[in-house]
Amino acid sequence: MSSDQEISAYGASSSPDDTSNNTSAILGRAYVTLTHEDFVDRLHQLDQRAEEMRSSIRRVNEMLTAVARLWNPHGRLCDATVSSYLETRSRPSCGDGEGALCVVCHDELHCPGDGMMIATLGCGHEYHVPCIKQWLLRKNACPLCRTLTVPL
Amino acid sequence: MQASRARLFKEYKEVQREKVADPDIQLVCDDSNIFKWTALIKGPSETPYDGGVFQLAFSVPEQYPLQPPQVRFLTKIFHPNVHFKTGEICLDILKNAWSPAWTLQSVCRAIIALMAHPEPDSPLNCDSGNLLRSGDIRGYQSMARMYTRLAAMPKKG
Repeated sequence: MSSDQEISAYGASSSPDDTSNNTSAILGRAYVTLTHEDFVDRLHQLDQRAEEMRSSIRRVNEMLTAVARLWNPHGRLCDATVSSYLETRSRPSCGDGEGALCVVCHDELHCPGDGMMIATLGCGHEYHVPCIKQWLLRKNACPLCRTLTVPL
Repeated sequence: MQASRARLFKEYKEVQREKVADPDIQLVCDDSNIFKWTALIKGPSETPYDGGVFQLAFSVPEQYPLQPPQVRFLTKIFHPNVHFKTGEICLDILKNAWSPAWTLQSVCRAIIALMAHPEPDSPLNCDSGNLLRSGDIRGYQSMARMYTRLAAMPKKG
């Protein structure tokens, strides 16, 4: 192993006239000497541990959301839940709604040719998909009749 | 922002169209700011607010209609669910029971309904709430009527 591959874990090789074979940093009374490979290896380990921690935080968060939903079924929903629920209940607008309005945006529900998707909730009320999605991210209830939209 | 503006513009057109339909509510948008509205509502009959005209101030958030508008009384009113000094209104649909299906016009209707049916158990005006809770209907009515005369009726010249 050549000396230029050796790196101190504490960046002590900053002085250009450092000619020692092993770049070392002094931490209190202990000498810490790391080769480049050791250093990279430890970085990988740290990375792995950080990833494990992130995934456990995600799991705890998911659990908390699930508990919160039991506690308050009408509370906010997460994006994935809303999207997968609406996917099964959407269809393109057909243009025979006889002037019905989407109560969220107050635009016509069925406007042929605008490419807008319509969602029919379990209670039968209809909304534009982007309109009702925004609302369900805040509250799991039909704006018109307050029925629980996405069942537990 | 764009969505709230578009929706308020729709409501503005609806208000213009239905002006005659509801003579108890007169809803006006600020000339320069579509997020600021005022309303004049008539006190409901057979209540101590009968004969008075009350002014409401609406401040609409950018997240409207996902968030409720902020509404308060500009006219002084003696009512258990209205703060006597600030005019703040305690009404569930303006807080956690809000739904985007409400409009500024229907919020006005809800406030008129609240004037006719006070909820003394969630008071913002404790004096008024205590009168009703202790069963002193007459005391509450005479106080409310007095403030209606003082603040919500044209001065007799």
